Amino acid sequence: MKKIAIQLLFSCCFISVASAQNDAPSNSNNRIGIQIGYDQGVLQDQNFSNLNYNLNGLNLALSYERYSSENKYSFYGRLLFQSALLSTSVSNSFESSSLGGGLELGLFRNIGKFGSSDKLSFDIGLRYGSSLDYLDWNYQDSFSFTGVHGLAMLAQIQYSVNGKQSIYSRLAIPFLQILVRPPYNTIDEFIFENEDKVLKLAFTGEFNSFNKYQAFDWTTGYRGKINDRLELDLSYNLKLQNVRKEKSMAQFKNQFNVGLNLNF
Amino acid sequence: MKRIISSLILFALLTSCESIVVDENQMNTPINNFELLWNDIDKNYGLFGVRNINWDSLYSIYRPQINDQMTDQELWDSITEMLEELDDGHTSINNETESFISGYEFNGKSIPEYSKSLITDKYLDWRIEVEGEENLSYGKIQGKDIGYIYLGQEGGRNSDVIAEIIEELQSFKAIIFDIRQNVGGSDKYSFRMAGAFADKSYLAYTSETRNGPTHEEFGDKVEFYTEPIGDFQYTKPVMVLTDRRTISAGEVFLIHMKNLPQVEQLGDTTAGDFSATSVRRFLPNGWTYNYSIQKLLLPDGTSLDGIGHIPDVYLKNSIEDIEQGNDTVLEGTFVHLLQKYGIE
Repeated sequence: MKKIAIQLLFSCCFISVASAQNDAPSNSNNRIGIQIGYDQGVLQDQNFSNLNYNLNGLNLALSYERYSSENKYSFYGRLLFQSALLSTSVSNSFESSSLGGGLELGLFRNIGKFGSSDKLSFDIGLRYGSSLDYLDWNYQDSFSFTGVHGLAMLAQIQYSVNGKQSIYSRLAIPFLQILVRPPYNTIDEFIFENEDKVLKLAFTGEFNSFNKYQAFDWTTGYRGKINDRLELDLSYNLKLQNVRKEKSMAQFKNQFNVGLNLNF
Repeated sequence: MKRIISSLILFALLTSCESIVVDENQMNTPINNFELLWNDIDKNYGLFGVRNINWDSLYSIYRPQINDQMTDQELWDSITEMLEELDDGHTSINNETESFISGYEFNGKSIPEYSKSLITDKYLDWRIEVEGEENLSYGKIQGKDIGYIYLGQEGGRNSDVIAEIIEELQSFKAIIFDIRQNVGGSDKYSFRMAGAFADKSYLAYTSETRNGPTHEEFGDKVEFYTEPIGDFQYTKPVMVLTDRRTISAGEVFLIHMKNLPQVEQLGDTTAGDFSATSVRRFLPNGWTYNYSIQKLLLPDGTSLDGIGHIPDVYLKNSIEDIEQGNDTVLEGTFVHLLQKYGIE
């Protein structure tokens, strides 16, 4: 049932964005941006707790995009930080914190433009992503983490409403990654030995694909020009993560973001 | 307009999909709380074999006592009674007002059998508390050529400070290293402390962490050594004093120390709780608990879990001794040092 529902969800996202087009700046090849947003979601991490947690927090992202001439290729990079409060309906004393961050580097190739004045544009691409989410209760009385470092398939649709406004939708589906999770019992001698070596812990994992990790990262948004250089960026992001191991992890997160871009 | 409506429908669809990804939350009923705890320990506890615990039989005894009509207090009583059967000081459970540690009642009885102020006032010429460390001090025994170190917890900012202490005490003919009421802490800290006394490297113990759902699934065996650390090691006689509440990393410190030829243990048997503990676990009724997740074995493959370190010389204070202003463990140690080593 879950599989069918997730497939339906994927389909919905593709259908919903069938209204789009390339909004690459007409006489600018670069775009930098800053976005802040509100995160809301639900988390379940068996290494951390038997309970489900509601997640509420804030995120900050810095982004950069570069378009080749004729917009045949585009590159984007994005640095994301997030901090959230985890709460349960059980007890206020179980309130926990979630800290996370990540880097995304994506390369798109334009595969077609349609409609009058090429308003609708499709891109496909590949993304390298590296992210780490850390959960903590009461200064490590309980903790868990999920690190994902790997490749994702990318698809993007952009639609230019007019010269000043556009909407876009981007979907990333990770397919090969190093997945970093705590050991079976959350702590072991490796964790004790390396408790001060965050980078080592953050990158020590195992290669896998859809068998153990399924994720879905969908962003859709609106861009409106304020002037020749500046534009407003409003976006919604939906992220699903599902780690299938003996101690599973599942997360459903909505992000509502507002940002400002500079084209140059 | 159609597009807006479609978008709204889609958004509603997406935000209602939480339950597709995340399972339903756990029910807060006595039966479910009991089942969660029992199953969690069943799949993660590391000492069923070492402590010879038949967890299934405990289920068959305690599960019939649980029903959804029982009060919180009745559930608490049943669960703590079941956990007491583990007799494991690294297994505990808390509710909003109470805390229960398995096997603690017996070990806790030793608390009034020790008095730090009595030692300072009656037996020491001077005592220095080491700043930044949790409970570390050192001094000189009155009228004797003997140094004294007290370590009440294996924790602090700078375990290397032991090198400075040893340097200061190096001229004494013997050191009494008192770890009575040592509540444990970090095994790394214990390792560093013992390194100030080690003449060479010894295999101290191995540890294995439970890493699968069946009781005998453990990860790789990791070896831990006692090693000389620092420029100077104290190799003259060291008498380590223990009691029933010397526990956990305090006992790991003693594993390291008992490898060394100049070390003897005097006092009472230690608690016998060596394993690392799990992260804190949560129940839907708001209780938290944790448990042992490792087995720690001596080089010969035996375990002291549930047994403790048995002293070379048995000495024990009574409450009356302390009330009358005598630490008979310390005084017995003076006698032992004189009789065996001619040190006073």
